[in-house]
Amino acid sequence: MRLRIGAPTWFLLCAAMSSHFAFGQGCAVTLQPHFSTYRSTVINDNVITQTVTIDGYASVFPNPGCQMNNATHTPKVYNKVGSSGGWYSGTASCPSCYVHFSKIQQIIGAPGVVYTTTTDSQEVCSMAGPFFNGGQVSGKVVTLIGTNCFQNYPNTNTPMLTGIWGDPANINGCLKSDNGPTTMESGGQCKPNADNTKNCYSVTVSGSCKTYCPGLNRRMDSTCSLFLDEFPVVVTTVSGTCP
Amino acid sequence: MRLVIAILMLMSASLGFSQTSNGTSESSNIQPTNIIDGSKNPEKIRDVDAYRLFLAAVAPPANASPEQKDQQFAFLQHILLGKADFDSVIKTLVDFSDKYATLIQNYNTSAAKAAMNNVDVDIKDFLTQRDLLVDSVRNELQITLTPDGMRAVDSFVQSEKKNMQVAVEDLP
Repeated sequence: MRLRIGAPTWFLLCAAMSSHFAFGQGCAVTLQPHFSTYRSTVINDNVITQTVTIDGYASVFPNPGCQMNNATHTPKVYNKVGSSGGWYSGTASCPSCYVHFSKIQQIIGAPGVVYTTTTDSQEVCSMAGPFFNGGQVSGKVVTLIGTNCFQNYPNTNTPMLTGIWGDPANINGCLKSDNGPTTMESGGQCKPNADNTKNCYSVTVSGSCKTYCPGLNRRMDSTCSLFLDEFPVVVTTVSGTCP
Repeated sequence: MRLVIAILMLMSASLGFSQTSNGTSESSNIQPTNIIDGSKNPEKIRDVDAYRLFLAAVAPPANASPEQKDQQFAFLQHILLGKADFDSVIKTLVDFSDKYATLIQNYNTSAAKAAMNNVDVDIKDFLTQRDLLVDSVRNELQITLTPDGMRAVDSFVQSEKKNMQVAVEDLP
Protein backbone atom coordinates (compact mmCIF):
# COMPACT_ATOMS: atom_id res chain seq x y z
CA MET A 1 0.00 0.00 0.00
CA ARG A 2 2.77 2.40 0.91
CA LEU A 3 4.49 1.78 -2.42
CA ARG A 4 1.32 2.33 -4.37
CA ILE A 5 0.96 5.80 -2.83
CA GLY A 6 4.65 6.47 -3.38
CA ALA A 7 4.64 5.67 -7.08
CA PRO A 8 3.33 8.99 -8.43
CA THR A 9 5.55 10.89 -5.99
CA TRP A 10 8.61 9.06 -7.28
CA PHE A 11 7.62 9.84 -10.84
CA LEU A 12 7.11 13.55 -10.18
CA LEU A 13 10.46 13.82 -8.39
CA CYS A 14 12.27 12.42 -11.41
CA ALA A 15 10.54 14.97 -13.63
CA ALA A 16 11.16 17.94 -11.32
CA MET A 17 14.87 17.28 -10.87
CA SER A 18 15.60 17.56 -14.58
CA SER A 19 15.28 20.45 -17.02
CA HIS A 20 15.87 18.13 -19.94
CA PHE A 21 13.06 17.98 -22.50
CA ALA A 22 12.46 15.59 -25.35
CA PHE A 23 10.44 16.43 -28.47
CA GLY A 24 9.95 13.51 -30.76
CA GLN A 25 12.45 11.39 -32.66
CA GLY A 26 16.05 12.20 -31.74
CA CYS A 27 15.35 15.69 -30.43
CA ALA A 28 16.15 16.65 -26.87
CA VAL A 29 17.04 19.95 -25.24
CA THR A 30 18.33 21.08 -21.87
CA LEU A 31 17.12 24.45 -20.62
CA GLN A 32 19.14 26.16 -17.90
CA PRO A 33 17.21 29.11 -16.43
CA HIS A 34 18.98 32.30 -15.31
CA PHE A 35 15.99 34.37 -14.29
CA SER A 36 15.83 36.94 -11.53
CA THR A 37 12.54 38.06 -10.03
CA TYR A 38 11.39 41.08 -8.07
CA ARG A 39 8.04 41.51 -6.38
CA SER A 40 7.17 44.48 -4.27
CA THR A 41 4.10 46.01 -2.69
CA VAL A 42 3.96 49.62 -1.55
CA ILE A 43 1.09 51.25 0.27
CA ASN A 44 0.49 54.98 0.29
CA ASP A 45 -2.32 55.20 2.87
CA ASN A 46 -5.23 53.63 0.92
CA VAL A 47 -3.48 53.17 -2.45
CA ILE A 48 -2.01 49.68 -2.84
CA THR A 49 0.54 49.23 -5.65
CA GLN A 50 2.22 45.93 -6.41
CA THR A 51 4.80 45.08 -9.06
CA VAL A 52 6.10 41.73 -10.31
CA THR A 53 9.15 41.51 -12.57
CA ILE A 54 10.97 38.69 -14.31
CA ASP A 55 14.34 39.43 -15.92
CA GLY A 56 16.90 37.05 -17.40
CA TYR A 57 17.52 34.37 -19.96
CA ALA A 58 17.79 30.64 -20.52
CA SER A 59 20.86 28.78 -21.70
CA VAL A 60 19.65 26.38 -24.36
CA PHE A 61 21.51 23.17 -25.14
CA PRO A 62 19.80 21.24 -27.95
CA ASN A 63 21.31 17.97 -29.06
CA PRO A 64 22.70 17.79 -32.65
CA GLY A 65 19.95 17.73 -35.26
CA CYS A 66 17.38 19.30 -32.95
CA GLN A 67 15.81 22.30 -34.68
CA MET A 68 14.69 24.96 -32.21
CA ASN A 69 13.62 27.46 -34.89
CA ASN A 70 9.94 27.08 -34.15
CA ALA A 71 10.23 27.25 -30.37
CA THR A 72 9.49 30.47 -28.48
CA HIS A 73 9.78 31.45 -24.83
CA THR A 74 7.22 33.67 -23.11
CA PRO A 75 7.54 35.38 -19.71
CA LYS A 76 4.50 35.38 -17.45
CA VAL A 77 3.84 37.10 -14.15
CA TYR A 78 1.01 36.67 -11.68
CA ASN A 79 0.03 39.89 -9.94
CA LYS A 80 -3.18 39.95 -7.95
CA VAL A 81 -4.41 42.38 -5.30
CA GLY A 82 -7.79 41.49 -3.87
CA SER A 83 -9.91 40.45 -6.84
CA SER A 84 -7.94 42.57 -9.34
CA GLY A 85 -5.33 41.05 -11.63
CA GLY A 86 -4.14 37.53 -12.43
CA TRP A 87 -1.68 36.08 -14.94
CA TYR A 88 -0.13 38.41 -17.52
CA SER A 89 1.99 37.33 -20.50
CA GLY A 90 4.86 39.20 -22.09
CA THR A 91 6.00 38.95 -25.68
CA ALA A 92 7.15 35.59 -27.02
CA SER A 93 10.75 35.58 -28.21
CA CYS A 94 13.47 33.18 -29.28
CA PRO A 95 14.61 30.55 -26.72
CA SER A 96 18.00 32.18 -26.07
CA CYS A 97 16.62 35.74 -26.09
CA TYR A 98 16.91 37.97 -23.01
CA VAL A 99 13.62 38.66 -21.29
CA HIS A 100 12.37 41.53 -19.20
CA PHE A 101 8.70 41.67 -18.25
CA SER A 102 7.08 43.67 -15.51
CA LYS A 103 3.48 44.24 -14.49
CA ILE A 104 2.09 46.69 -11.98
CA GLN A 105 -1.28 46.36 -10.25
CA GLN A 106 -2.84 49.22 -8.34
CA ILE A 107 -6.08 49.51 -6.40
CA ILE A 108 -7.69 52.04 -4.10
CA GLY A 109 -8.40 50.17 -0.87
CA ALA A 110 -11.86 50.51 0.66
CA PRO A 111 -11.88 51.39 4.38
CA GLY A 112 -12.00 48.37 6.65
CA VAL A 113 -11.41 45.84 3.86
CA VAL A 114 -8.50 43.38 4.00
CA TYR A 115 -6.90 42.49 0.67
CA THR A 116 -4.92 39.36 -0.19
CA THR A 117 -1.87 39.91 -2.39
CA THR A 118 -0.39 37.12 -4.51
CA THR A 119 2.60 37.12 -6.86
CA ASP A 120 4.32 34.54 -9.03
CA SER A 121 6.35 34.34 -12.25
CA GLN A 122 7.07 31.82 -14.96
CA GLU A 123 9.01 31.35 -18.17
CA VAL A 124 7.13 29.15 -20.61
CA CYS A 125 8.56 27.28 -23.59
CA SER A 126 6.12 26.78 -26.47
CA MET A 127 7.33 23.20 -26.82
CA ALA A 128 8.13 22.17 -23.23
CA GLY A 129 5.76 24.28 -21.15
CA PRO A 130 6.83 26.14 -17.99
CA PHE A 131 10.51 25.51 -17.21
CA PHE A 132 11.07 28.25 -14.64
CA ASN A 133 8.79 29.07 -11.74
CA GLY A 134 9.53 31.93 -9.37
CA GLY A 135 7.24 30.51 -6.70
CA GLN A 136 3.98 31.86 -5.35
CA VAL A 137 4.11 34.37 -2.50
CA SER A 138 0.99 35.60 -0.73
CA GLY A 139 0.41 38.26 1.88
CA LYS A 140 -2.30 40.49 3.30
CA VAL A 141 -2.94 44.19 3.33
CA VAL A 142 -4.53 44.74 6.71
CA THR A 143 -6.43 47.76 7.94
CA LEU A 144 -6.04 50.13 10.85
CA ILE A 145 -8.12 49.07 13.86
CA GLY A 146 -7.00 51.60 16.45
CA THR A 147 -4.31 54.19 17.21
CA ASN A 148 -2.85 56.06 20.10
CA CYS A 149 -0.57 59.05 20.46
CA PHE A 150 1.86 60.02 23.22
CA GLN A 151 3.45 63.45 23.54
CA ASN A 152 6.17 61.80 25.59
CA TYR A 153 6.32 58.02 25.44
CA PRO A 154 7.93 56.76 28.68
CA ASN A 155 9.94 53.93 27.08
CA THR A 156 11.68 56.12 24.52
CA ASN A 157 11.25 59.61 26.01
CA THR A 158 10.08 60.84 22.60
CA PRO A 159 6.72 61.62 20.99
CA MET A 160 5.18 58.34 19.78
CA LEU A 161 2.37 56.96 17.63
CA THR A 162 1.15 53.43 18.21
CA GLY A 163 -1.28 51.44 16.10
CA ILE A 164 -3.15 48.19 15.82
CA TRP A 165 -3.78 46.66 12.40
CA GLY A 166 -5.72 43.57 11.46
CA ASP A 167 -8.79 42.09 9.83
CA PRO A 168 -11.99 43.67 11.22
CA ALA A 169 -13.92 40.57 10.11
CA ASN A 170 -11.52 38.26 11.98
CA ILE A 171 -10.22 40.18 14.97
CA ASN A 172 -9.39 37.03 16.94
CA GLY A 173 -7.31 35.55 14.12
CA CYS A 174 -5.64 38.65 12.70
CA LEU A 175 -4.59 41.51 14.96
CA LYS A 176 -1.19 42.97 15.73
CA SER A 177 0.12 46.16 17.35
CA ASP A 178 3.23 48.17 16.59
CA ASN A 179 5.07 51.28 17.73
CA GLY A 180 5.94 54.12 15.37
CA PRO A 181 9.23 55.88 14.73
CA THR A 182 11.06 57.79 17.46
CA THR A 183 12.09 60.58 15.11
CA MET A 184 9.10 62.94 15.41
CA GLU A 185 10.07 66.42 16.64
CA SER A 186 9.23 67.02 20.31
CA GLY A 187 7.12 69.91 21.63
CA GLY A 188 3.93 69.07 19.70
CA GLN A 189 0.47 67.89 20.66
CA CYS A 190 -1.61 64.75 20.15
CA LYS A 191 -4.89 65.43 18.31
CA PRO A 192 -7.52 63.36 16.52
CA ASN A 193 -7.63 63.79 12.75
CA ALA A 194 -10.46 65.63 10.96
CA ASP A 195 -12.88 62.68 10.79
CA ASN A 196 -11.93 61.50 14.27
CA THR A 197 -10.69 58.10 13.08
CA LYS A 198 -7.00 58.40 14.06
CA ASN A 199 -4.89 59.84 16.83
CA CYS A 200 -2.23 62.02 15.24
CA TYR A 201 0.67 64.19 16.37
CA SER A 202 1.08 67.83 15.26
CA VAL A 203 4.17 69.94 15.77
CA THR A 204 5.33 73.32 14.47
CA VAL A 205 8.64 73.07 12.61
CA SER A 206 10.27 76.13 10.99
CA GLY A 207 6.98 78.05 10.79
CA SER A 208 5.00 75.13 9.32
CA CYS A 209 2.57 72.73 11.01
CA LYS A 210 3.64 69.14 10.49
CA THR A 211 1.09 66.42 11.27
CA TYR A 212 1.99 62.76 11.59
CA CYS A 213 -0.82 60.16 11.36
CA PRO A 214 -0.63 56.35 11.22
CA GLY A 215 -1.33 54.96 7.73
CA LEU A 216 -4.64 53.22 7.04
CA ASN A 217 -3.16 50.02 5.61
CA ARG A 218 -0.02 47.96 5.90
CA ARG A 219 1.32 44.57 4.87
CA MET A 220 1.39 41.34 6.85
CA ASP A 221 2.29 37.78 5.96
CA SER A 222 -0.52 35.42 5.01
CA THR A 223 -0.87 34.11 8.59
CA CYS A 224 -1.07 37.59 10.16
CA SER A 225 1.92 36.88 12.38
CA LEU A 226 4.43 39.36 10.97
CA PHE A 227 4.40 42.91 9.60
CA LEU A 228 6.20 43.02 6.25
CA ASP A 229 6.70 46.78 6.15
CA GLU A 230 7.68 49.66 8.39
CA PHE A 231 5.15 51.43 10.61
CA PRO A 232 3.30 53.59 8.06
CA VAL A 233 3.19 57.31 8.80
CA VAL A 234 1.36 59.86 6.66
CA VAL A 235 2.92 63.32 7.02
CA THR A 236 1.15 66.51 5.99
CA THR A 237 2.72 69.95 6.20
CA VAL A 238 0.76 73.20 6.20
CA SER A 239 2.36 76.64 6.36
CA GLY A 240 1.85 78.48 9.65
CA THR A 241 2.00 77.35 13.25
CA CYS A 242 -0.19 74.50 14.47
CA PRO A 243 -3.49 75.65 16.03
CA MET B 1 5.59 -6.04 -3.79
CA ARG B 2 7.39 -7.38 -6.87
CA LEU B 3 4.29 -6.75 -8.91
CA VAL B 4 4.20 -3.08 -7.85
CA ILE B 5 7.89 -2.62 -8.71
CA ALA B 6 7.31 -4.23 -12.09
CA ILE B 7 4.41 -1.85 -12.74
CA LEU B 8 6.65 1.11 -11.81
CA MET B 9 9.32 -0.07 -14.25
CA LEU B 10 6.74 -0.46 -16.98
CA MET B 11 5.45 3.06 -16.30
CA SER B 12 9.00 4.40 -16.58
CA ALA B 13 9.69 2.54 -19.82
CA SER B 14 6.39 3.69 -21.24
CA LEU B 15 7.26 7.32 -20.46
CA GLY B 16 10.62 7.02 -22.23
CA PHE B 17 8.94 5.58 -25.28
CA SER B 18 6.40 8.38 -25.54
CA GLN B 19 9.14 11.01 -25.25
CA THR B 20 11.21 9.70 -28.12
CA SER B 21 8.76 8.20 -30.56
CA ASN B 22 5.36 9.81 -30.17
CA GLY B 23 6.53 13.39 -30.34
CA THR B 24 4.75 14.31 -27.12
CA SER B 25 6.46 16.76 -24.84
CA GLU B 26 7.11 16.64 -21.14
CA SER B 27 7.16 19.73 -18.97
CA SER B 28 7.96 20.43 -15.38
CA ASN B 29 7.86 23.53 -13.18
CA ILE B 30 11.36 24.08 -11.94
CA GLN B 31 12.22 26.33 -9.03
CA PRO B 32 15.96 26.47 -9.55
CA THR B 33 18.33 26.20 -6.64
CA ASN B 34 20.89 28.42 -8.38
CA ILE B 35 19.42 31.67 -7.07
CA ILE B 36 20.06 34.00 -4.16
CA ASP B 37 16.90 34.42 -2.15
CA GLY B 38 16.89 38.01 -0.92
CA SER B 39 14.38 37.22 1.81
CA LYS B 40 17.05 35.01 3.40
CA ASN B 41 20.39 36.48 2.23
CA PRO B 42 19.83 40.06 1.03
CA GLU B 43 23.51 40.88 1.67
CA LYS B 44 24.54 38.42 -1.06
CA ILE B 45 22.69 40.29 -3.79
CA ARG B 46 24.97 42.63 -5.72
CA ASP B 47 23.96 46.29 -5.81
CA VAL B 48 24.12 46.25 -9.61
CA ASP B 49 21.53 43.46 -9.73
CA ALA B 50 19.28 45.13 -7.16
CA TYR B 51 19.40 48.46 -9.00
CA ARG B 52 18.72 46.75 -12.34
CA LEU B 53 15.61 45.00 -11.05
CA PHE B 54 14.37 48.11 -9.26
CA LEU B 55 15.03 50.50 -12.16
CA ALA B 56 13.55 48.13 -14.74
CA ALA B 57 10.45 47.61 -12.59
CA VAL B 58 9.71 51.29 -11.96
CA ALA B 59 10.98 52.83 -15.23
CA PRO B 60 8.01 53.53 -17.50
CA PRO B 61 8.36 52.12 -21.03
CA ALA B 62 8.42 54.58 -23.92
CA ASN B 63 4.79 53.81 -24.80
CA ALA B 64 3.50 53.92 -21.21
CA SER B 65 0.01 55.32 -20.70
CA PRO B 66 -0.50 58.13 -18.14
CA GLU B 67 -2.13 55.52 -15.86
CA GLN B 68 0.91 53.22 -16.13
CA LYS B 69 3.21 56.15 -15.35
CA ASP B 70 1.15 57.03 -12.26
CA GLN B 71 1.36 53.43 -11.06
CA GLN B 72 5.11 53.31 -11.52
CA PHE B 73 5.61 56.66 -9.81
CA ALA B 74 3.73 55.28 -6.79
CA PHE B 75 6.93 53.46 -5.92
CA LEU B 76 8.95 56.66 -6.13
CA GLN B 77 6.44 58.52 -3.96
CA HIS B 78 7.14 55.92 -1.32
CA ILE B 79 10.80 57.00 -1.25
CA LEU B 80 9.75 60.50 -0.10
CA LEU B 81 11.98 62.56 -2.40
CA GLY B 82 11.90 66.34 -2.70
CA LYS B 83 10.41 67.77 -5.92
CA ALA B 84 13.73 68.46 -7.63
CA ASP B 85 15.07 64.99 -6.79
CA PHE B 86 11.77 63.39 -7.85
CA ASP B 87 11.96 65.10 -11.25
CA SER B 88 15.61 64.08 -11.68
CA VAL B 89 14.84 60.45 -10.89
CA ILE B 90 11.98 60.41 -13.41
CA LYS B 91 14.20 61.84 -16.15
CA THR B 92 16.90 59.27 -15.40
CA LEU B 93 14.36 56.44 -15.37
CA VAL B 94 12.98 57.39 -18.79
CA ASP B 95 16.54 57.41 -20.20
CA PHE B 96 17.29 54.05 -18.58
CA SER B 97 14.08 52.51 -19.90
CA ASP B 98 14.95 53.50 -23.49
CA LYS B 99 18.55 52.30 -23.26
CA TYR B 100 17.69 49.01 -21.53
CA ALA B 101 14.99 48.22 -24.09
CA THR B 102 17.38 48.99 -26.96
CA LEU B 103 20.16 46.88 -25.43
CA ILE B 104 17.82 43.91 -25.04
CA GLN B 105 16.35 44.36 -28.51
CA ASN B 106 19.80 44.45 -30.14
CA TYR B 107 20.93 41.31 -28.30
CA ASN B 108 17.70 39.49 -29.11
CA THR B 109 18.04 40.31 -32.81
CA SER B 110 21.47 38.68 -32.85
CA ALA B 111 20.27 35.76 -30.69
CA ALA B 112 17.34 35.07 -33.03
CA LYS B 113 19.64 35.27 -36.06
CA ALA B 114 22.12 32.86 -34.42
CA ALA B 115 19.30 30.43 -33.65
CA MET B 116 18.15 30.52 -37.28
CA ASN B 117 21.68 29.63 -38.38
CA ASN B 118 22.03 26.98 -35.66
CA VAL B 119 25.04 28.70 -34.08
CA ASP B 120 25.66 29.56 -30.43
CA VAL B 121 25.24 33.09 -29.17
CA ASP B 122 27.54 34.49 -26.49
CA ILE B 123 25.57 36.35 -23.84
CA LYS B 124 28.60 37.48 -21.80
CA ASP B 125 29.10 40.71 -23.77
CA PHE B 126 25.45 41.57 -23.33
CA LEU B 127 25.59 40.95 -19.57
CA THR B 128 28.67 43.18 -19.29
CA GLN B 129 26.95 45.98 -21.21
CA ARG B 130 23.82 45.53 -19.14
CA ASP B 131 25.73 45.95 -15.87
CA LEU B 132 27.67 48.93 -17.26
CA LEU B 133 24.37 50.60 -18.13
CA VAL B 134 23.08 50.12 -14.58
CA ASP B 135 26.34 51.44 -13.11
CA SER B 136 26.14 54.53 -15.34
CA VAL B 137 22.58 55.19 -14.16
CA ARG B 138 23.67 54.91 -10.53
CA ASN B 139 26.49 57.37 -11.23
CA GLU B 140 24.05 59.74 -12.89
CA LEU B 141 21.73 59.56 -9.90
CA GLN B 142 24.65 60.29 -7.58
CA ILE B 143 25.55 63.38 -9.62
CA THR B 144 22.05 64.77 -10.11
CA LEU B 145 20.40 64.01 -6.75
CA THR B 146 21.00 65.79 -3.47
CA PRO B 147 22.95 63.68 -0.95
CA ASP B 148 19.71 63.16 1.03
CA GLY B 149 17.84 62.14 -2.13
CA MET B 150 20.53 59.65 -3.14
CA ARG B 151 20.61 58.24 0.39
CA ALA B 152 16.81 57.78 0.27
CA VAL B 153 16.93 56.02 -3.11
CA ASP B 154 19.82 53.77 -2.05
CA SER B 155 18.18 52.95 1.27
CA PHE B 156 14.98 51.96 -0.55
CA VAL B 157 16.81 49.78 -3.09
CA GLN B 158 18.81 48.08 -0.31
CA SER B 159 15.61 47.38 1.63
CA GLU B 160 13.99 45.97 -1.52
CA LYS B 161 16.66 43.25 -1.83
CA LYS B 162 14.48 41.16 0.49
CA ASN B 163 11.88 41.06 -2.31
CA MET B 164 14.33 39.88 -4.97
CA GLN B 165 15.57 36.51 -6.16
CA VAL B 166 18.68 36.80 -8.28
CA ALA B 167 20.13 34.14 -10.58
CA VAL B 168 23.54 33.09 -9.25
CA GLU B 169 24.91 33.04 -12.80
CA ASP B 170 24.58 36.80 -12.75
CA LEU B 171 27.40 36.92 -10.22
CA PRO B 172 30.99 37.35 -11.39
